[in-house]
Amino acid sequence: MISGRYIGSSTAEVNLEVTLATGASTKVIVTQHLPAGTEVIRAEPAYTRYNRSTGTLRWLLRSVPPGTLLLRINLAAPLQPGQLRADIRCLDPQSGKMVTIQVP
Amino acid sequence: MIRIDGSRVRQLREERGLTQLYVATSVDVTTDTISRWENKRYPTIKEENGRRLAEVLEVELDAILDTSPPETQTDSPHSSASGETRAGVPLQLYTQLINIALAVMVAVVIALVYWKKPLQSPSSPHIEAIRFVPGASMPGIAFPVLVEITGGDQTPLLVEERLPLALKVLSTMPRATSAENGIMKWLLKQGADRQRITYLVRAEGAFGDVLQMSGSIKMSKGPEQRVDTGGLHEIRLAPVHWADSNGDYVIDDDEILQVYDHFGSMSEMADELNTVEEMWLGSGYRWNAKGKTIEVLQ
Repeated sequence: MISGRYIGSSTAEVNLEVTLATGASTKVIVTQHLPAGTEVIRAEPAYTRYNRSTGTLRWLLRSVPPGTLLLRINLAAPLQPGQLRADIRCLDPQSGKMVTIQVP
Repeated sequence: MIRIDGSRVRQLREERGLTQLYVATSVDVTTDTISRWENKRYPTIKEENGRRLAEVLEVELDAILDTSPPETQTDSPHSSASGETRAGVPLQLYTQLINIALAVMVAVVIALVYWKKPLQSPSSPHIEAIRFVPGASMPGIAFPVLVEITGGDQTPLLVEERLPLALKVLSTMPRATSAENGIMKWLLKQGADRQRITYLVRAEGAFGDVLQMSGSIKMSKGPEQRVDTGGLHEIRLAPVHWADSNGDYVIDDDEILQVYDHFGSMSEMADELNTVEEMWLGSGYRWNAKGKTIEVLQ
C-alpha cells in the first residue's frame, strides 16, 4: 500500500521516494531522522517542521495522489553512510489501523 | 509606546517554528493580540510587551521596530497646523506635560509593586517560568504538562509543581527529585537560558471537574527569591482529547504542530504522539464512553 526508499542520495542530499498504491490513504506523515544538529539548507516540498536539536524533520502531507512522491533535503554538510532513516505513516483505509513503514 | 513591524514579527516567529499560542503565552497576552500585532491592526504597543516579544523571538528590540515614517495625522484632536492644541497651549509644552505625568504614574506604580511584593532581589537575574497545560482532557487518558523556565544563569534552581490528588503523575522529564502528596520538586543544578520540565499525568474524576495546579521556582534560600509559575494553571475534564485544543473532534495541522513543538522530543510521550498522529491521519475521533477509549474515524 505504501513504501519508501532512498534513491540517488549523495552525502549532502537526501532523496526519499514515497510510493502510494491506488486506494491508499491520501494523508501521510513522513518523519526523516537526521543526526541531531544537522543544518538543513532546504527541503522540497518544504518541510512542515524541523527540530534541529533532535534532527527530526517532518512533512505532514495531505491529498497525496497514488504514485510516487519525491522528498528532497539539501544539507549544509555531508552525512556519514548509515545515518539516514525515516518513518512513513498513514492509515490503512481497509483496516482503519495506522501503518508505519521504516526506511530503510 | 512603540511601533513594531508586524510582518517582521510574523516572519521571525515562523522562522523559529513558534506558534502564536506559544508567543502569546510567553508575552502574557492573548493569541488575538499576537494576530493583531502581526496584521498591524494595533499601530503601537507597550514597550514592555515589545521587549518581551523580542526576547521570545530571540532578537533585539530594534529588529522588530517599524522604522517607516509614521503616517501624517491630519485629524488629531491635539495638534493643528500652527503647532498648538485646540486649547491654545503650545504643542511642545503640552507633550512635555503629558510625558512628565506618565513618568510620575509609572514611578508610583513601580514603587507600589516593589513595596508590596518583591519577587526577586535587584541583583538576581530575571527569571520566568511558564506552564503549558491543555485546556481539557478525558479522565483516564494521559496528558502532558510543560514548564518552561527562561532567564536563568549558573544558579541552581528548585522547581516545584503542586497538583491536586486527582492528578496521578506517570512520568517526569527530567526525573523529579521528589514527588509526594501532590508536590513534585526538581533541583536543576546547572542553569541555562532556557530549561524545560515536562511531566505526564492522568486525571481521575468526572466530566466537568476542573483541576487546578500551581508552582514556583526558587533560586536560593529565602522567600524573596521565589517566582510563581505563570501561564496556564487548570484543566477541565471533558470528552475531548488534550491535543484537540478547539474541541471539534478533529486534530488539525495547527494542533498537531503544537504537539510536536512542545512535546516532540519527549521519548516518554511516544505513545501519546502516536495517538495524536493517528487522529490527524484520520478524519476525526470520538470518545467511546463504554470502553473509555478513543476511536479514530477514517
